[in-house]
Amino acid sequence: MRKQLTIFLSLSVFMYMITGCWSRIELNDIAIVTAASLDLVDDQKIQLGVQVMKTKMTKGTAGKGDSSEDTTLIFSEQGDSVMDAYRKIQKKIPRNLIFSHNRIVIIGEKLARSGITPIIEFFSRYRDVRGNSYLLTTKGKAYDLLNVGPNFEKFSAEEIREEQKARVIDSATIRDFAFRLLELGIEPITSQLQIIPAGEKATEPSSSEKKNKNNELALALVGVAVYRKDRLVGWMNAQEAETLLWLRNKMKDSVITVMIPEENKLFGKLSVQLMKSKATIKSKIENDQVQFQVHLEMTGDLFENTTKLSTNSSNNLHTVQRLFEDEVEKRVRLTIQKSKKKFKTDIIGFGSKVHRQNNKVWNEKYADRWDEEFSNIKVNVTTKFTIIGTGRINDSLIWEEKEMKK
Amino acid sequence: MRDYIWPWQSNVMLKHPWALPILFLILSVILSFVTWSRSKHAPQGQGQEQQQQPHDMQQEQREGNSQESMDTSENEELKTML
Amino acid sequence: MEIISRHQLLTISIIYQIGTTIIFGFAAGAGRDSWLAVLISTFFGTAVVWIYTRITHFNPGLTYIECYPAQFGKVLGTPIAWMHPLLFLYISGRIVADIKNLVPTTILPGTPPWVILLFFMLVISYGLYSGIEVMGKLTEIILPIILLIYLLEVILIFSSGVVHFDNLAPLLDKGWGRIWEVVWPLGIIQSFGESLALALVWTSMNERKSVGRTMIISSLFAGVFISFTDALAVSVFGEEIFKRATYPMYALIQAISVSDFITQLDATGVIYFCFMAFLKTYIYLFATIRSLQKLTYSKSSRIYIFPVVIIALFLGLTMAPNVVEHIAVVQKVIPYNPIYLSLMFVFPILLFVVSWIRNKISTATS
Repeated sequence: MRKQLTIFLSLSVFMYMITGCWSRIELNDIAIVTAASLDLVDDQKIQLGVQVMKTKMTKGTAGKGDSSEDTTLIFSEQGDSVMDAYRKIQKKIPRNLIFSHNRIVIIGEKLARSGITPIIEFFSRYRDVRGNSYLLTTKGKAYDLLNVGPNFEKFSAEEIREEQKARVIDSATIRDFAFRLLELGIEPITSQLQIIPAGEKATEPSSSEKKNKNNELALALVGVAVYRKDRLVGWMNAQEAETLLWLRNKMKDSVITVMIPEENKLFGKLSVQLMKSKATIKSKIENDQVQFQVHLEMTGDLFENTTKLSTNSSNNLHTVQRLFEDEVEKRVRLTIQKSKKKFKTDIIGFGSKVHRQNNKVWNEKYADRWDEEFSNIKVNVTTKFTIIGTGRINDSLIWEEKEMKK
Repeated sequence: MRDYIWPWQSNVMLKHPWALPILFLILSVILSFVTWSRSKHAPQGQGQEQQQQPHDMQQEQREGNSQESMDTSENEELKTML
Repeated sequence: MEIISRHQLLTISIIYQIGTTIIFGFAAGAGRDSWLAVLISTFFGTAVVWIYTRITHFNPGLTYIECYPAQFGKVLGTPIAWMHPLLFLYISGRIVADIKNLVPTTILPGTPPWVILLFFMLVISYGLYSGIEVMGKLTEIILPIILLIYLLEVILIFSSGVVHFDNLAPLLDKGWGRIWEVVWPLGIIQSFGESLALALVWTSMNERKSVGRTMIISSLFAGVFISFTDALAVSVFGEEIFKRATYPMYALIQAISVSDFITQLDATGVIYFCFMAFLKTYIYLFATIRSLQKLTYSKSSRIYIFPVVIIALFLGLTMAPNVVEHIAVVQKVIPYNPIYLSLMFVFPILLFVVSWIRNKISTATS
């Protein structure tokens, strides 16, 4: 009897100790950071801006889904380092900032040009941060981008993340960036984010209109920021960025349009949606010069045809396929040229291919000086394009009409 | 000098890596005296390796069983004591 | 005397040998060839473990500790035998210090470490009090669960789309030098030399004949397991980050993100590690008290539980002020430390040779 009593008493005492409540942080004591922006301001200080979700514990669910009310708050502070600025923001908010749900990190141009290793350091060491957040660069100040309201999702960070996941443009998470930074033979990139109007382009809206129609601005991925080591060296536009996706085998789907020129009596445009794309890069070292053979195989569906070419005959399809092959080859060559001549950085990863395939020569000769060597490489591009289907109709409507007029 | 009192600590192990082995040696010699002084308490089953008996399979099993039965009876004793 | 079955021994030794190595990135110094280094260590390590089992085979009925005085004579053998419980105590202090560094860094930042360790040691004491039989049954039940969780994690990692197997190429990029540096002596000590502590469990097994086979199976399995984990970590992170990460396995779990729905599974990694550390500490402390019991000819090992646990706790709490020094000790001091090398390699080999010769003589004269 005594034994059972002691067991019972000790159990009831210990029960309170195993609930793990020593350093608990309740849900209404945390502020979830969904997006972070980093800028370099005068005299070498870093400005950290955070987009924090507002979680109201009162009011219930009725108050949260309201579209006119903002569900996020923006805070920013300047500090000597990222952690310094983070601590200063913490002083402004009554809750603990939690980075584990951070979705994106936007970096301003000035900071990017001066090297972003300190940023990556913080995000690699700090306790809560995961490597899954996407890195983005922008022309101008990153802090301005946090203010744009969301259109579809509850907060803009989620929208951007969905855009990145759709893989229209090459993207990099912090983990990817750090990997490419440390690995010899491939240089990092991030996507480029800008504010553009969601509707029509460019005529300058008057300032009052801008304020009223704030939700018509959208954050868009317009290109790719090219880094050498950890400094920004330039930008690439969306078309070139797409070819980067092809070369790295990360494409989900993509659209290419070719135009048959006007001199040809079948003029018009053809558009194909790419379903699959596979790129193989083989390296060959000959007489102290590195040569690459790039072969791209793509398959797609034809979804728009404004030429008079009938899509019903397979001869025509062969012609069309060849047209696309030429177009793809042209684009890939252009991207490789640009990265060779203009940026002199190997963002496609040719160096790492040499490393993987001929590692002895790489280790002896090129590992240390791939930066200079990269401009002298020769690349040969071949493509093979297959059109699998032509959509739901198999012959051109324009062609039919012409027939009928006779 | 004070370091030598804490030879398992990492800073001491980095500076004077031989401190821990010497501690072990000293302790083991000291504690061996404990073993030698208590050897009269040695239970019967300990002495069997001293005998130059052939390693008979059956005998081994029998001795193994007897050792087990001794220890299970010991266990029962302890259980009844609680 | 408690009896454990062959299957229980298998489960105990598998969990023990996988141990805490996967959390710290076994053989991380070898970069992307770490999986190869692990396989080579497994090969040599299994041979070492086999030597340990043969020693107990040549001295039937005796625990490993008692073989030293028996074969080398009382004057020389007893001090050598006494070094073993001291070594086990020191190693269990190291594991306690590991936990002290891991848990506050990852999941319980505010809790003072001594509280975490106090409860840990309380549970271990209870386990020691209940005996090895209970532990055998526990591991028998838990090993399938652990393997299942691991399998689930692997599936989730593959589904997160972060695995790039071409990170593992090129093989032997920097040559064999890196691999040999890691294999000897650290690679073999870490999981296989430490199986010495298991030697004190073997006499509790009911089928003496199959100890050797069981241990070889478990060593090979554990080796392949660790090698696979290393290869997975390199393919997700790439070589440089793998070398730099303090806790690669934990970072691996952080990388899981399946359709944004299954994320943030950090806690499972830490639970995993805690259980492995628990079992390893338990076995070391069990080996310590069993050796103490045998060396002082006591009737039962229970009186030693309290002092041994307190000493282990004290060692763990005071061992290292920070993680950096702790890991530095493992990499710089331990491989060249004469205690490890002699107790795990030199003395067993001598013991093996002497036992074998005596065995041959006694069977020859019969």
